[in-house]
Amino acid sequence: MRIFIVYIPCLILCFMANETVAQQPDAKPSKFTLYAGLGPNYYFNNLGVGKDQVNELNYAFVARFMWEPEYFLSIGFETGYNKLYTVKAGQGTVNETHIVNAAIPLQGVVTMRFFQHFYGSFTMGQSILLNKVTSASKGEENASTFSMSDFGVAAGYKKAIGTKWFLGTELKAYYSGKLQDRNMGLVFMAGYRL
Amino acid sequence: MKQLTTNIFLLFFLLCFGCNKSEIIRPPQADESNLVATQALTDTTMRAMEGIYKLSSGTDVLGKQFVCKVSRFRVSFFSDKEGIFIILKYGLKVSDSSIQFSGFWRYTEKSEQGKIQFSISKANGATDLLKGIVKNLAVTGVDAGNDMKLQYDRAFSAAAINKNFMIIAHHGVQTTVDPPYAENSLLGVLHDEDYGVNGLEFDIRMTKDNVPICIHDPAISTRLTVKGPISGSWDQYTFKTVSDFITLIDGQKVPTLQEALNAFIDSTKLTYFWMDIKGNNDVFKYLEPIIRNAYQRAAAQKRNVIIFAGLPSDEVISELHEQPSYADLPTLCEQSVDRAIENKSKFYGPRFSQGLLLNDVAKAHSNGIKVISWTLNDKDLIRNYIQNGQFDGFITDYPAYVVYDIYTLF
Repeated sequence: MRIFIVYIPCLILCFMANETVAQQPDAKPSKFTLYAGLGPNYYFNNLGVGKDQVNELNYAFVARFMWEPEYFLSIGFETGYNKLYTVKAGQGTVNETHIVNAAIPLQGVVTMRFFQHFYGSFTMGQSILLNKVTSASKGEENASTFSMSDFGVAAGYKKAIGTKWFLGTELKAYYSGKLQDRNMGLVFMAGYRL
Repeated sequence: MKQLTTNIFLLFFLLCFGCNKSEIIRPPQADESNLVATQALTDTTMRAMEGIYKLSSGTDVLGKQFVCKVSRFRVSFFSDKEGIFIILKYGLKVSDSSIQFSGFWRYTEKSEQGKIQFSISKANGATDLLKGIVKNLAVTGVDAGNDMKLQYDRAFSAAAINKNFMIIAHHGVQTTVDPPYAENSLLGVLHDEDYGVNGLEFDIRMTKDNVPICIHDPAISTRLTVKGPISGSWDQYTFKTVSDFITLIDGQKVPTLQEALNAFIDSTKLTYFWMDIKGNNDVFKYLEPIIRNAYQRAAAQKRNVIIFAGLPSDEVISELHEQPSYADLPTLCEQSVDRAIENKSKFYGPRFSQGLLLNDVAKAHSNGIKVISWTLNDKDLIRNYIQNGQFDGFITDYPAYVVYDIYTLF
């Protein structure tokens, strides 16, 4: 899996370099687009400990950098902040504890256009899992770890607004292999062609 | 395009189905009807029946020759067939002067297992056994409706006994395939002796508040624990948080080293406890008082135990040197025999893949250092290393192979 951490960014850089060189003589429009989005998500609660104390409804931010040629396929890199779930344990006691779990994906993206405005995408790579435990008795404990085999699939719709901007939405399922976390989010996206 | 689609599909398939983790399969609940109203017998009395047994009649589904060993509360048989072992509770039935046994059998490398009952009738030597006489001892058993009779053949040879071979349970479990208990757990400590071992290897890590706990993986994972709301490495959390939100895959709690040592000393007759130090800052500073207390506890119970810290890397050796007062406590150096001598280790622990290391083992022995090879699980390799090597012990996940070979090859 580690090979993808190196391979995918290198691949993107190669494409970028190629494009930069290629654009100079005839000044074609850029094929690089930045997307940002946010929206609610739902965590598929599979906890064995503390299952009843989980808040499944949360939110995610997404940032995506894409190389979008005239072909059906485009590739890029995705990151963001995916709040997976929160837990409130021992409420009303001296041991009341609040736990927040989130993932920062660092993943490659492959997107394929199916119709004029519809596309599907597959993301794969690693995520940084963040865990924050806050309790009255113990204070704050912050932890992080890497999840190496994560992926997501999405189906989306986007529409160009003028020559530079895009608006769209996508339904996105995310899976993190380290602790078998799964959620699904509805992300509202805006894109800007560089 | 087709190639890309195929590759993505294959990758997706591997991610979803590539790993198949072991499950915990507890031993079956024995039918103890034959133990009702029986009197307890001490392990000292039962120890007289230790030896080699041969199948004299009946089915050979569980093997034809067995090594019988007695632990604190159980009698165990280790078969010549596929590492099958039988673990039995026992009691004296006063009404007919027989000794009754009930328990289970299990394969070493398969999770297949079943219930079994044995007995020694008065005619087959039960009364004699209580006097320490085993000459005509015979054990009769019933497995799934098939009768079998195991005849006492001979005592263990002096050569086998004098080897004092160290058989150390890897992570404190007895098999890698669907083990009966979670690794590095208290139930492992309490039951390992029945599986033929005389020592434990436990992995030691530190929590954020410097409590040594027994866990292998550096980070919380669903391989070892039930999925809970915390993630990250163990040293990012206090023991209280670990205790509140982490459960091992069989429902037990992650034990502290202190708890594991207390169980090891108070509830077993095991001798060796290998702490596989995974390396945290100042680890020996926090280990030392726990180990010294453990030795005091053992001495108070007249228990002869050896608790040694593994030194797997330069970093851990450096940590050891940061705590000079630890120097009189035993250690095991994994790096080389020379480093074991240099660090005054009592044990040297080479990886099995380094081979028989006859010269290194001889050098270690000449310096009073015992050598434990790890981790031997292959049946043929175990036999080869026992027959041709000079090791003093093994770490293994499959102690049944080692027990059988040690007592039948010598």
